[in-house]
Amino acid sequence: MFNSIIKAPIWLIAFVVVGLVTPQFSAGQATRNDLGYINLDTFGGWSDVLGMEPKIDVSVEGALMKLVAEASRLEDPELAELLLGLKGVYVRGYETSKQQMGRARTHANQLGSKLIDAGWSSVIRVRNETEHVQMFTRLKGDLVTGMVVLSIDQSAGETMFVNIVGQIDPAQIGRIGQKFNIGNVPKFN
Amino acid sequence: MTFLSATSRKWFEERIEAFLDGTLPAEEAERFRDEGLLDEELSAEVNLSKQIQRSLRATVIEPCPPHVARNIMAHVRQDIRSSWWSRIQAFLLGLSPSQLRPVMALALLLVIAISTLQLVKVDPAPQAEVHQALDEVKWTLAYLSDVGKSTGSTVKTSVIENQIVNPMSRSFSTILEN
Repeated sequence: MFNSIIKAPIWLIAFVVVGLVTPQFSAGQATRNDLGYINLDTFGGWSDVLGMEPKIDVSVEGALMKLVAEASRLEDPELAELLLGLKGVYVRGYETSKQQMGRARTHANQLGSKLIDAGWSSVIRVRNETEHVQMFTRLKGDLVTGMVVLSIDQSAGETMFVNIVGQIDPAQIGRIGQKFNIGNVPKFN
Repeated sequence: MTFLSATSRKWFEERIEAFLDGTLPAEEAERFRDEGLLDEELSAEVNLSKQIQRSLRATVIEPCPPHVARNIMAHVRQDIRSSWWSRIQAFLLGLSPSQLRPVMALALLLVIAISTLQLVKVDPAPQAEVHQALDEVKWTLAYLSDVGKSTGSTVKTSVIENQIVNPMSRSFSTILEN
């Protein structure tokens, strides 16, 4: 038996392959199994409702998120600290015409109900003639582990669906986010 | 016939190729011409070497077809690999279980070290990709901050001011007036 083990290098190769592949696979996969994660594409279904693909498509997760946090450490330690607590940042943004606004609002309300049914807490809900904003958080104990923001802005003609996964302090996000300019990243490019 | 001593003859014979190639130092070449070539036997040897050199140079060397070279190299590589593996196998089989344990531990350590190194350079971190992701994350945070600000402002104006502060203010005014 001993000889057969030595004669077959397969076990060694398998060990190396499993060792190399598992951590890479699990980094992104772990985030997607997190309570605070929702799949913006399948859960949101905005592409079907608005009949178009997202114009803004951001998915930063796993190892890339860690690299991003490290890349910002020198320039902005506070941002790095915030990012190290995050597991994933996902955004889908759609151009929305006035004609689509009614449909978008109805769909947003349905999504809000689905999120609440799934265990999310509604934090803010603003609905007026020009804007529709809903914010949900997912709690694990006292900690916020996920945040979803759904915003339909008629004046800007856009629908944004955002999901942040990880240890989240909304106040910290608001404070740090103020430092950056939305204009720095071209929208709908 | 030869008139050279055995020692001299050996000296000349060792230099025939160099003499023909023209790489002998000037003094030795002169001695070769003045003494060596006068000897019939050595002269015959020089002529024979000259003919061999000429015929070798005239020979057309056929290049090895690429597929043959590839196959040969593949066999050579396979032989090298199997010979290495046989040696490792023989070495491992020669060890007793107590001797094998540290070897296995070392191998495991090597595997872990290599795996870790591989993981560190998993993403040769395309810098452009990281910078783009950083910009996207910053933009998302800015967007959320902006939405929070505008929502807060709406809540303040529409709810707190219109629904709470203004009615209360009107009520106080009415009470004070009465």
